[in-house]
Amino acid sequence: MKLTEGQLGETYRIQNLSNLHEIVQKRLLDLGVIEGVEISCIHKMPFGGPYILEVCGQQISLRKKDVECIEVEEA
Amino acid sequence: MEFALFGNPNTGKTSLFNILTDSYAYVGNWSGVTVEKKVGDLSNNKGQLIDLPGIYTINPLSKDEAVATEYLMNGSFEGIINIVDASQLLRNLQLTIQLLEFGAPMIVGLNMIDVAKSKGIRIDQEKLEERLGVPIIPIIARTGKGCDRLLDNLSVHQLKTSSIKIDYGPEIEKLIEEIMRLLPSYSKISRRWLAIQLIDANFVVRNKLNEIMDLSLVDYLIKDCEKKIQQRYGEKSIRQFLFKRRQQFIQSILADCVTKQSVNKKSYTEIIDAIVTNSVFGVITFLGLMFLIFKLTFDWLGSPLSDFLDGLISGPISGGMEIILEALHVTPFIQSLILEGIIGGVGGVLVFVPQIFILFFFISLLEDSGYMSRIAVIMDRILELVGLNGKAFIPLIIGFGCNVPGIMAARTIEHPKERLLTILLTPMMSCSARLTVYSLFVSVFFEQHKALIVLSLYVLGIVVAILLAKIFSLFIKTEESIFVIELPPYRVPQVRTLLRSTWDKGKGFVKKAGTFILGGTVVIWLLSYVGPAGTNVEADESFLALFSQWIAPLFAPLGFGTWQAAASLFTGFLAKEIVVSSMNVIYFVPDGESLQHIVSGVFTPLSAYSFMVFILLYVPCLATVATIKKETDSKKWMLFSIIYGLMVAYTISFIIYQGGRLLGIGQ
Amino acid sequence: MIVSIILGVIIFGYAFWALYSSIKKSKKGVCASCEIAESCKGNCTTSRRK
Repeated sequence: MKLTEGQLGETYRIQNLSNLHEIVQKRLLDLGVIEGVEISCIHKMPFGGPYILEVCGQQISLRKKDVECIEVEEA
Repeated sequence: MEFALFGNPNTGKTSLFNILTDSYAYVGNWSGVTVEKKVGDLSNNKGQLIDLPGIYTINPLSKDEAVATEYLMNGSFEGIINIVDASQLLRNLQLTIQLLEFGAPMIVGLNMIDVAKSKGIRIDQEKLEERLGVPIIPIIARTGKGCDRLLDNLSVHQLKTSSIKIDYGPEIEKLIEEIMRLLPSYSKISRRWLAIQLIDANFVVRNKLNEIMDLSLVDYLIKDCEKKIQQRYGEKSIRQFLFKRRQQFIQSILADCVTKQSVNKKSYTEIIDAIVTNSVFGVITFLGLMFLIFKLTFDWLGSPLSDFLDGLISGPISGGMEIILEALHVTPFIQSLILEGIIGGVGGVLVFVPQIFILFFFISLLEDSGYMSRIAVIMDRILELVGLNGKAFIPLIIGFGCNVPGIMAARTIEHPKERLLTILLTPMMSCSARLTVYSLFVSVFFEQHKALIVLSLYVLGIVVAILLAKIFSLFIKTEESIFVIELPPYRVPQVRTLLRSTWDKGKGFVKKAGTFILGGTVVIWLLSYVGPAGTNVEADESFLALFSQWIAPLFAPLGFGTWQAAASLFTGFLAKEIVVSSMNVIYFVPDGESLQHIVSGVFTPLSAYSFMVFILLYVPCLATVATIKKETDSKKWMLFSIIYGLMVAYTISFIIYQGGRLLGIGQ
Repeated sequence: MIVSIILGVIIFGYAFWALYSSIKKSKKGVCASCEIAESCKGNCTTSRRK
């Protein structure tokens, strides 16, 4: 399922990142975010704004459309 | 000896740099504080230290990151200091491994051991040292703990070169060997490292090699190998495969050296974020904070201090100087120069020093606390609508201090076109120099609502920038914009760092008063003192008046069509503070009546507001224009920034003044 | 009178020099605003993407 369909605060495992924009993928790789890593959404900005995610012990922010491209499964 | 400082963004590189060197650089709690390399002398006089922009890997994405890679390849350093965030080892060691592969002598500064400890992370330092093959010194860069030892080790030990070698698997190892055979043998850089970086598609390395050799065969080999990797391991890309190989290696090290107990307490970062990044309160909190800052700057703290200084300068200092000059029988010409030109003009700007410093203190506080990147998140949705991303907001906020570093900070934006847009918009941000003009006018016309009026100007700058972004993006087509930002944990700012960073921002203002503003003011004074009829003419008969009368009618529809306003706007191109000192000189009345009184006769609240808006938006100052030229590498964009600024300023001031008149407000 | 001439020369001399050197510095852009410009030996060599 898409990460956006998950619950806030719930932890999931990343299954597929390949639908993301290439630069986003590269930057996420830099941050250690790859398939198999656990991820959770902490906050969500209003009006379709960005998400704040917790992954690999750090907080990052991504746009909703990018978060939609992250496929996850129950951890 | 020259040492280079490498590390991930936001791991405390700049803090360490400040401790190890005598000089002082800029610190902030957000990625991208350093966008250009900085050189400082080590405090033990054993050499120099180069502070480089933070990078996650040697393979850059944005322009500031490319600076670090280029330095690694072309710089003349003898050793590397790699600063590592102890609480984020898995990620940080990726860079460390690549630096070790590069083969330069290295020492690792294991930073933030206190943060790591509070997260329940314990690191066996000796074991880690053994596994990496280079010395490791635990430090806390923010407080300076352990940094002396790091410095001692720089000079006493010869830094070690690690013999670490990662096995990337048979396919890649074969590819590396093949590429190494193709590379020129005289290269001073490790050929294995070059080969690995080529495989990783590092464009800086590629461009450099492309200058001296044909890379088509190398490209073919890499493509071919990537296919094999994809088939055999099911990996998406060769880059990810390399990353995973390194990560496996790092994990094997960490399994040996690091133990982690889970600590289950809610960190204060989470608690603050629950409010600050709350979907409803986020924007309100931001505006509220800004309002509070202006309230403090103008009303509660700044104004009394400024008034006190004003009293001092226009009273005892000016009066005392007059007595001295009288006693020396100085000619009226020199007397007028000193009293009206220097004390009146430059003093009129110095009066605002307390306010500027207070504002800088709070900007430093915001920067050091970690709030900046949260603002980027809050603003992203709005900026996305106009083809930018939230990260563009950080250069804009930096621009509140001074537009020049704001434009520099735009380097962290990955997309070249978004970066260009951000550079063009930064001059719309109300820098501290413009604050002097607001201070003068709000104290005359808007006594009751100082903070609100100033906030409205800052917000207007942001709104205009956002609207312009929309218009520009129709012409400068931005592709899909990218927004990935790291949110560092909040930190309680160190008082020492805060004060120094405030001083560093503010001292430029004081220095400018003694040089640029003084020089400009003396010239203005001279032009207003002499005229076709000789010296000591009536102001209206001076050369300055004669020149300015030509352009003054242009500003009549904006509500300030006087030659005095035109003249001071003209000088404002050099530096915006000169607007205030020019007005002080031009409107000087010998009987000690203050500028405030005169201004209240010449302007109405409406035309004053229109004037402030014009000052906010018109031509960027000389230093900003020069920086735009340098950063965009184009004269065209520089001229564009001047012209569009004028047009926008004229249009908006016109709307405000004429609209206000129609509605009958503030006349 | 002599005092006046001396003061005039000093003030105008300094003012024009200050204005000239600040304009020159401003034109360089970046370095003018840098906090450690004086001790920095990097001279802000801007690297450019080819």
